[in-house]
Amino acid sequence: MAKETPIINIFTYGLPYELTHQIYNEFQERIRETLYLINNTDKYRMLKRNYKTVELLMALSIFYKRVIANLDAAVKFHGTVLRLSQADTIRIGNYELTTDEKNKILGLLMSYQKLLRRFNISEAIWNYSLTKEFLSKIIYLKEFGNVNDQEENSTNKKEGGQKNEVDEDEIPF
Amino acid sequence: MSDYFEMSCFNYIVKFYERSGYQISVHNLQRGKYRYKCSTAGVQNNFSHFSASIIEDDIEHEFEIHHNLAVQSSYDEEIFTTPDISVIKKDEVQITFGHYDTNTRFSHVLQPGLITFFEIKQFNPFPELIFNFIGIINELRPEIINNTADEIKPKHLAPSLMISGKPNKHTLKIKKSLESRYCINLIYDVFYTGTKTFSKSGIGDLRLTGKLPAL
Repeated sequence: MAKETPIINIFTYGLPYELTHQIYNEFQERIRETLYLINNTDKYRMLKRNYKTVELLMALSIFYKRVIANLDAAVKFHGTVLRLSQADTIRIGNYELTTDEKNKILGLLMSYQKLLRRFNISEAIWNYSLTKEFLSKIIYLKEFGNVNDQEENSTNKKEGGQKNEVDEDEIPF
Repeated sequence: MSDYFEMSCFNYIVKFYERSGYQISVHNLQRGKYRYKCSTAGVQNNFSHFSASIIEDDIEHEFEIHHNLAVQSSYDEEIFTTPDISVIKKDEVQITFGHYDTNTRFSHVLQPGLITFFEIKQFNPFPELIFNFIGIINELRPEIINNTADEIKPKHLAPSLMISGKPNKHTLKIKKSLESRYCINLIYDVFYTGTKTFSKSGIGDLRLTGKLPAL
């Protein structure tokens, strides 16, 4: 049977080396934490069955933060320059962000939004700093199908939460 | 990619001026293209910038918003540092020779020309990064450290550090502590909260140049 291509390789295919390296490293680091939390804490154990989905959403969240959000910024800046001047191109070093290029990026952003809508994924799921925050959002998504109002609820849950086998704040690496 | 984040922050600064009633225009296009200065290298004349003008009390005030322009230290006229974004008085960019070992041209703004500045960091906030910003404040605007800075009119944002990443408990404490001591803005999580921070209602919460607001 052919070996499955790791999801992160699919996301980073064709990206510049430096960016690929950053995405790949962050992904590997967070996946390591994810596996530890899933295998060692009660709270996240329920994600074991959905590990492939967690991996996919994790890759998408890193791709969003390191690629999509930046491209979105470039499109907005291009819009500002176009609105306020006669210029139709922004030159950044040797790269030229032309209107055609901007439209390609816009197309990509639209496909991305469509994808999120299709699978009912809110962008709030990408709003995390620690891996365990991301995993909590996935649990919430799995249980309630929406993460938008998760933050208020999670504060309430914190105090009376289940005791974990190991402390999720003390990942040993 | 980090240039794009800087662009996004630049966009927010421009938006602040637009929402504060300034007229915005783009200057110094190069062969019809906006040339973005994405590093400290290069002469400012070869790059584009934005202008913000406003009429207040029948006087027209005009300022320029630049990327990566060197600013003279307030302690030593021969040393400079380069904030990511600087707002300066109109036509104050100077070009001199002799700053570098070679006879390369060096563009900068002298202290009296500086209005405010912004540092952009595409990281998660961490203590050393935030305290470095206080070092830059001390070099360029020591009156903020002493809380003797005068308000600059028309309105301008106080020097600000804009960070892409989300804070943790400790970096939130640092923000609270530093903002209680100095009239600055530490803006975290710009990726997700930038739109809200620089929205019509959000800009009212940002600090302007001057002394610390009275409690």
